[in-house]
Amino acid sequence: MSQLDLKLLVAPVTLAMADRPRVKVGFEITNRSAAVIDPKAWDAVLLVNGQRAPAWDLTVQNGVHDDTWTQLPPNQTLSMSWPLGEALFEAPGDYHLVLQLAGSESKVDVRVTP
Amino acid sequence: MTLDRGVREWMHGSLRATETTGTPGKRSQTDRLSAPAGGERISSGDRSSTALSGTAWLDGVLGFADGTTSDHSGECNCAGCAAGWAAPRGDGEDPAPATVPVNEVKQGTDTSGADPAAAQSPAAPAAPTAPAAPTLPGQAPPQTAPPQAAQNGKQPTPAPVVPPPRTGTAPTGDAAAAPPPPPPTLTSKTRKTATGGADVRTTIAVGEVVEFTGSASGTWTATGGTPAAGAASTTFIWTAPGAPGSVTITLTVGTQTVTKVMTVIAPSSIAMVVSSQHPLTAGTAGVCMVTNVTVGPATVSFGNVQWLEVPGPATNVAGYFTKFSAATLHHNPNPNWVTWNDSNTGPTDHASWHSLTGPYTPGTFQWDVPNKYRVTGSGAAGTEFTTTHQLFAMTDNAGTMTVSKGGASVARTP
Repeated sequence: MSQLDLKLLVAPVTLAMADRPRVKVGFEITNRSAAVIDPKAWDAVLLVNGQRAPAWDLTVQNGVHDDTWTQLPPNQTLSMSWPLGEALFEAPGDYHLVLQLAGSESKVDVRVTP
Repeated sequence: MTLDRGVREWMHGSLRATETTGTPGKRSQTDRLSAPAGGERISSGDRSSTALSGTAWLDGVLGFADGTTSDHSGECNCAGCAAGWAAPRGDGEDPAPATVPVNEVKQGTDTSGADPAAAQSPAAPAAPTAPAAPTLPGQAPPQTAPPQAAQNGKQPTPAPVVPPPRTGTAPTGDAAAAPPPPPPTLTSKTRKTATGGADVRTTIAVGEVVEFTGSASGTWTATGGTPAAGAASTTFIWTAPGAPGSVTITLTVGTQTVTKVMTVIAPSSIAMVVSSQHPLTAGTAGVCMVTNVTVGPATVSFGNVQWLEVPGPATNVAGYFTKFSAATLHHNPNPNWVTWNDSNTGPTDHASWHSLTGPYTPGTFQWDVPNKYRVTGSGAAGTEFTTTHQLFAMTDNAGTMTVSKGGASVARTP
C-alpha cells in the first residue's frame, strides 16, 4: 500500500483552444504514513494519451522549492499547479491524462473544443 | 537654530561666564557694573572731594552724615561709598546687582555726558569717565537711569533694569541653576544576525527588524517602515520598509532629539552551489542538479524576505531542442513565494531534465529568469532584483548534457 495519496489536478477539464493559457495542471500529494516522507514529486510522470509529456517533466523537475518537497509531514499535502494548457493540448480533441508516482495513479479526461 | 547647536552654544556660553564671573548668564551685567567705576575713580584722582584725609574718613566709617565734615549732606559718608568701592562687584553673588543702588555717592554730577545707549548696551560699555558720574540719592545706576530725568535734575524713580539682549542660548531662571540633562543617545541592534555583518549596523535588509534603545525614555518616529511612531519608551522595535532607501529614526526626550539613519537595502544577488543530484536512468540522456541557494549581500539578513522566480520563454533554442514547441520549453517555475532563512539561504533549486529520448544531437536552450523579492507577509507583487540564467546544453551525439545556473553546473553522459 502506498504511503501517499496522489491526485492529478486539471482545471478546467472542458475548454476552448482560446482558453488554454488559463488551464492549470498540477498534482496533490498527501502523506498517509505516520512518518515524514520524501514524496519525490519531481519523479511524477504525466502521460497524455499514453505519451510521456516532456513539458510536464521540464516543469516538475525544475524550480525553487521549500522543505515540503523533500520532507512532507504525516497527513500534510503538497500541491502545485502550472499553466500547461498550451503545452499539453496542441489541438482540439479529447485527452486522457494519467499521473503516476510511486505506484499510484490519478486520471483526468479533458475535452478541448475549437 | 537646531537644538544641538543651541546646547553647544549654551554650554560654551556657560563656560565663558563661569570663567569670567562665576555665574552663568550674568556676565554682561556684571561687566558693566563692577570694575570700571571704582577703579577708574580711585586711580584717576579726579574725585578729590571724596578723597580721604584727616579724620573725615571716620564720618564715612561711622556713618555720620551730618554734613559737617563733608559736603555730602544727607548722604552716606561711608568710605566705601565715597571711594566708590561699594559698587557691586559683579562676582555673581549678588542676586540682583543692577537693581540695588549700592553706589550712592553724594556729589551730584551731570550725567548727561553718559551715553544712555552705551549704558544699556552690553556691546558698548560706558566710556571710562562715564561710569564715574555720581548719581543722586536713590537714583538708579547710570546704566538704567533715564537720561532725560537725569538732565532735568529731578530724582527719577529707579527704573527696573532691562536685561541686555542675550546673544547666547543660555537658559535662565531654574534652568540656569540646574543644567539640562545631557543629550540622549541612541543605539540599535538587529533582531537577526547576518552571516557577514554585526548585529549593530546601520545597513539592514528590507523588512529587517531592528531594536533601538535610547539613553532615556522618549517618543520615537521613523520616516519609513513600521511603526512610524512609538510611544514614550526607552526602546523602539521597528521593521524596515519593503523598498530600499534611507530611513531616519528619531528619539525625542523633552526638547532634545537624537537621530540615526538606517540604510535599507534589497537583495542584489543569487548564488547556487550543487548539493545533490538525483539518480537518472542509465542509457538515457538527462542531467540534474539540486542546489543550495544563497541571496546576497551577506551583510544583512533577508530572513524576513521571500523569493519568487518569474516565468518566461526559452531563448537561444538550437539543435536537439528545436523539436520541442515553445510552449513545452517555456519556463514554469514554482508559482509560490519561498522564504529565506535568517542566514539568507534555505530554499533549494532543482535544475534538471531527467529523461530525454534519442537520437541525440548537440543543442541548447536557456531560461533568463527574473527574480523577485518581497517582505514576508506583505502580500506585495514583488520587485525584480536580479536575473539568473539557466542553460541547458546537449554537447554530443551520445546525449551528454550540461545544466548551469547561478554559478553552479553539472554534466552527465548517459
